[in-house]
Amino acid sequence: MTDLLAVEGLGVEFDGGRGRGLFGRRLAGVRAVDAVSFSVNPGELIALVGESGSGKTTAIQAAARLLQPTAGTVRFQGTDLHGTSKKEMRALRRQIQLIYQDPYESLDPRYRVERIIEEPLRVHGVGSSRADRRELVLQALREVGLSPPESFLDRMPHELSGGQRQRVSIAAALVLKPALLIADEPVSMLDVSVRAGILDLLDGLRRKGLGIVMVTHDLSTAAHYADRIAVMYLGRIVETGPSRAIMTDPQHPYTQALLAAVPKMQRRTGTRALLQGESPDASAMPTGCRFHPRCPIAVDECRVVDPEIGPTGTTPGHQAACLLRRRTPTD
Amino acid sequence: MTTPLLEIKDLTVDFRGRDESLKKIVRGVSLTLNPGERMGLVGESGCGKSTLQLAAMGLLPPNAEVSGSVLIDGVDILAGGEASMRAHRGTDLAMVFQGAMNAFNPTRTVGSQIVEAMVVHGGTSKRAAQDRTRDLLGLVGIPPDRAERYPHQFSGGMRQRVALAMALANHPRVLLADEPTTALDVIMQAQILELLEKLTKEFGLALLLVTHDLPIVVETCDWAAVMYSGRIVERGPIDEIHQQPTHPYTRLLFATVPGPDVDQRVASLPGVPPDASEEPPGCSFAPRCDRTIDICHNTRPQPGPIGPRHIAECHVAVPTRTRPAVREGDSDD
Amino acid sequence: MNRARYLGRRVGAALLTVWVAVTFNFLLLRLMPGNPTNRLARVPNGSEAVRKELVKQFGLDRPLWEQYWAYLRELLHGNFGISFTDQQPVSEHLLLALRNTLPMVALGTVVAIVLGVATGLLAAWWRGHPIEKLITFVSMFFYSLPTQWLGLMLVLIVSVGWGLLPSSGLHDPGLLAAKEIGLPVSDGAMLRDRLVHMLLPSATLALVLFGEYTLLVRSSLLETFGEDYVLTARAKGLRPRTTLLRHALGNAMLPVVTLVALSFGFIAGGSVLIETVFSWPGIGLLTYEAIQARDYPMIQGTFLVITFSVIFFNLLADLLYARLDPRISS
Repeated sequence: MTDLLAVEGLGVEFDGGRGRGLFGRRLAGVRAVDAVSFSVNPGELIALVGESGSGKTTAIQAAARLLQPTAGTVRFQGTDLHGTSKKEMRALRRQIQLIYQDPYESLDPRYRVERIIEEPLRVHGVGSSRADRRELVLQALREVGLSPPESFLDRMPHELSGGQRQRVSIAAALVLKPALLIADEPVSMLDVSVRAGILDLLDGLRRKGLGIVMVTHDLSTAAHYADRIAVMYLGRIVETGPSRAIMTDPQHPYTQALLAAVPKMQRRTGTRALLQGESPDASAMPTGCRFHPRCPIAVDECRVVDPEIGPTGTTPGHQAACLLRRRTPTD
Repeated sequence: MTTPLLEIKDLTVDFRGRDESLKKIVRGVSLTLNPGERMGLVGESGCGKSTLQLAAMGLLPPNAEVSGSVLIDGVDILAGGEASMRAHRGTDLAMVFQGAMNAFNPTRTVGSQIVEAMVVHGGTSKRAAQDRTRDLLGLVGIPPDRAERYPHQFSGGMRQRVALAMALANHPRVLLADEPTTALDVIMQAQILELLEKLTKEFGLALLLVTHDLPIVVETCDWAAVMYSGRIVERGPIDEIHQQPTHPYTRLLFATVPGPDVDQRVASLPGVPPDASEEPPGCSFAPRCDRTIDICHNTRPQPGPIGPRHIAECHVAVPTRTRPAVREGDSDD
Repeated sequence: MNRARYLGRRVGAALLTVWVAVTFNFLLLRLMPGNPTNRLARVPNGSEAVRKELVKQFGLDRPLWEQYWAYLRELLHGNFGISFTDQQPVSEHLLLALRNTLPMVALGTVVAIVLGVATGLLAAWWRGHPIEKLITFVSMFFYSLPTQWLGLMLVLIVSVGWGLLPSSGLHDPGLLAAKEIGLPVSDGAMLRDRLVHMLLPSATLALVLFGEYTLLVRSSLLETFGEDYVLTARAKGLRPRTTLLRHALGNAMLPVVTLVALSFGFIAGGSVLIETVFSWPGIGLLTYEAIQARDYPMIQGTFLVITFSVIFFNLLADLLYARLDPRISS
């Protein structure tokens, strides 16, 4: 069976400099994403987790062909996305939809909800008549739990709460009946109290067969909703595997540090065991393992050898890019 | 009964609109805080938690109408007007904001801005202030020679540390922090929280931490106050609030936090928070509440005791017959 | 990027722009059909022999690149060519016009900037108060007036009505005549006379220009007031006035610097409208007349003067920016 989306060895390098004016230098020769591979099947939710600057957003932008990668391939239903013509890509765009972090900026404040959701239909020439399209819009509104759907058609974005706005942007993505949904931090701008509602909605869509890639900085949210998690650090996936394995048996020292830093619902005794410093700029990439300068268990070899990702832990599919956490073959 | 370090009494904030209409934001909030104590103030956006802090600092815009009192060691600092308020800012009450990124004037070195915080209150020479700036930076874990750098030369986490150093410049006694870690990554967030804990312990600083993140409160605070629609609907020791949340709103808030068990469902709150201006006759949470009784819809609940220092505003959690006749003084033992 | 590299890049970019403008200026006339001697057809006795002699004299028979070098060489020596209208060097016309234009327009611009920044500051300080509304209204009012109309109205009221200030020209004709026939006229009297004549045109310019500054300074300040560092400054215990002067004003002035540079850059261009209304023999009037007469060398001359001036002041603004905003040069 071919994966819905298969990303292989993806690399994105910003050559910066020219055309970026005064601030170009910062990006000069920066490898934002390096050898990133992951795949999504229909009905599966994959979470890319990482801190700011980890390259998670760049990775999905390259995966959706919003950016030109410098290495690797992206296959959607078996078709090489970066090898297709613009015309073919236009048809494929219908199948791959994106939703963004900030529902206050992703909706045009001058348009009514109906127009916002209808627009993708017009762009792709779906629906033969106005009535046709309205039916599709109502269906999408119903699907994202805005009811009664008719009452939302004439509303303006500023009349909606944050959660409702994000539902509208999801409706605008769903109205084209895509096979893959890419969600970039879909709840981080929303109130805690409504986050679960949006995530439950995505979960429901996944159960109906949609493939979802979700980018988030919140490991605990990812763990509750994703089938698999990929933890990114400085442009690379350092650990990946089933959510439960990542949460209960994290192998890479960075994942362990991330989990340790997440505030727990319990009173703490003593001080936090903390990773010191912060992740360096991607333009100052450390040699060897990119995590070694902050790693509590690094050995000399880590300074020289850049570890490949490989099997770790006890769960099938659990992989880490750490020299010290390789699974040793038992047989 | 000893006088608490910080006592906010019946604080109410209204904003007067251009058309002279009143927008009610904070409705009669009271709380107390002692040296070295940390209190987390939680609630959904728009519940008035940030406004409450700004009101205590006297930093609201001119169209805000504030009533009630903010007492430091029993002295009302709001009573003397802007000029006297100014003397308390930075010295008694200091504040760090959510926008760690923008807490500094981008065109001046961070050192000069910390020095300014000291010199403005008089009694300190520029030289002495510069020396203390270096000490302060060291205290928050920034190499002291970075004082000569400009704000954009620091990362977000570093800048929040420097902002903390600046807030501490005049040995304040109460620190108000408005979502100080929201813009930061988790590891940075943990470092800042660790630092806040250290500072409260070392200097007996009282901390009023506004956050939307309940686990942070459970992990770092001694007290929790839950705000809903301009009111504190429940407050008490964090262990009690966490283990036996009494108010249905508190309970639901805790249920929205993803727990360690990945199979456990995460709840979301139905509906949207009301506008505090609308003030229904009954409980403002009643429309979203899952255990209302008749009285909830027509009578506003008054604060009632749950435990010795634990109170809630809820008809169901605190039945009327157990209510004491007098409202004042029920929060202290 | 360090400061020296930033400065180097800015200066380099400015020089490059100057070169492009100069080259464009050179090519413009060569690319047009015919050559300057074509006009001789209309001159009596303008025989083919005369034309050929002229082509040779002007070097028009030489290769283009040779002409280009000659052009650059002459330009470096301040030779802008000969005016078609009166066969006098363009540079002399330009110098004379600049001498008239610069003081008048500079005075107007400076007054406009000072007035605009002051009113903008007041408007921002008194936001929501009737004072703000009054300032905004007045500045918008003058900003929206047609320049020449305002000039004429000022002439009507101040000169014709009240008889306070002269209505046009550089000098009092009587004074000039007196000097002409050898009567003793002191330099001080001449200077005073020039200043008196300058007041109305400068005032007109200041009035139509200042509103733009008022609005920009006001909105820029209001934006800065909303910044966290302004709130932080007040949380430290700073007075509102100190906060404004130390933290808000500096940052709010950053966009204003650009507008100031732009205004200064255009000073050398004079003001066609004002110079026409007040018969002020400045660069604006010169440009206007050159265009009317299709005096190409003159048009090119004024074009180059304005270009140099705009580029120069933009460079100055860039350098100033780097001083004011540490984020730019690091």
